[in-house]
Amino acid sequence: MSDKIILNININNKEIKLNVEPRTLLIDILRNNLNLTGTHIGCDTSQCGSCMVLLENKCVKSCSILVAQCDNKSIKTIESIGKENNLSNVQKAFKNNHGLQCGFCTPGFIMSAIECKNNKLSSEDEVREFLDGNFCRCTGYQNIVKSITSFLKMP
Amino acid sequence: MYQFEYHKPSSLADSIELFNKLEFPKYLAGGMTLIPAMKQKLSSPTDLIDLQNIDELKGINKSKDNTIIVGAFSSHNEIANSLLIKNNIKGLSYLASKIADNAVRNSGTIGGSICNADPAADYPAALLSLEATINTNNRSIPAKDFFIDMFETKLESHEIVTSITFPIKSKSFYLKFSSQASKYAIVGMFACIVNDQLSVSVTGAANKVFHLEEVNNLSLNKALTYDYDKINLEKMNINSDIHASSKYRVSLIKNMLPKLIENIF
Repeated sequence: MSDKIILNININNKEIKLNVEPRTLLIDILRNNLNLTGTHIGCDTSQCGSCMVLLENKCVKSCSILVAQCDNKSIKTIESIGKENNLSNVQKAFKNNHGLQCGFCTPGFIMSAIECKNNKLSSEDEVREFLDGNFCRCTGYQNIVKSITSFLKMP
Repeated sequence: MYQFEYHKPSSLADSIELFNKLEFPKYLAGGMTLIPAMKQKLSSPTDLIDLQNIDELKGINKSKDNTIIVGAFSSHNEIANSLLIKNNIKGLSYLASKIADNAVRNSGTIGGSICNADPAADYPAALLSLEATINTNNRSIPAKDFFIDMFETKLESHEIVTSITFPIKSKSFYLKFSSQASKYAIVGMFACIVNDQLSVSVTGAANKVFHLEEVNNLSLNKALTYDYDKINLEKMNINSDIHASSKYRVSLIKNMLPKLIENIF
């Protein structure tokens, strides 16, 4: 058994102290220990982007990064983006444009949409290229792209 | 994931000392290849030595002798978005912007990529064509000597790549025909102009990156009217795999060349 390591990570604006085995992946801590189950495991092989979270405001696939690599950094998950009765702009855009069907991949797309906006993308082509690392297996992307381009136009 | 130990030293000397005393350690940079490989037990080090706290590996700077020095820990997105690289070696920033997907580009590093020496990785084409130099903790290695074979480099096992020195080249371009799933190169070609002559390197097609000798001494004018069909690639051992046959790859190389060269300007 490997020695546990102590980490300090800011998750959704809360300072959290963790005592974990070195092999722990970020997604495992989020879902199993912190009950942040909005971030989903899709492929578990860093292809699909369902587990996308923001690390220091940049997208990472949380199935492919050790939580140890995130020590003293900030993480944002879908739980920090809005509430059921108080949706954020990006969530409103997805709702208004029917940007989801089953919703499994949606948290990942939302995190990518936020980085799209931070990077000041605007055109549909840029959005499509940016979404290369997110898979959706039901809506066929048209409404997701529509949702994100409409979010990018919001103030 | 299987069990291993994790270390995060803050100096190169400490990293190398650790490496030498551990059983079967591996250095960890962005982890975009290593962590998925470990999850599948394709790689199973006893210890990971995370290099993220080593400042000497970071930053992109212009040196006095007119070269760009890219720290080994620079992420693909840092390279793609660096104004210094965009303004001086635009082909390199374009290449970095086409690696994998955005999340991978946020974490994956140039140092990690070249040390892994995947035959379908993008950077080797740029390093060879631009005649870059790979700097490690104790020496400098020209790109032409660095890549030895599939996943094999000139590096000693404990050695750490600290930075890559690129000569400034105002004219350069990268063109890739990639696997739609992984975005790895089935054929990737980098071209630049050295002393008014073309320098083209090919990645993804063989076990390691290679110079396209037949077009490499052509002036640009001659290159634009060259009959690419007569290029002979028989000696290059072009690979066949699930993505493409060697015949298809040869055809890609010949057919991508005109577009590559037109876009150098």
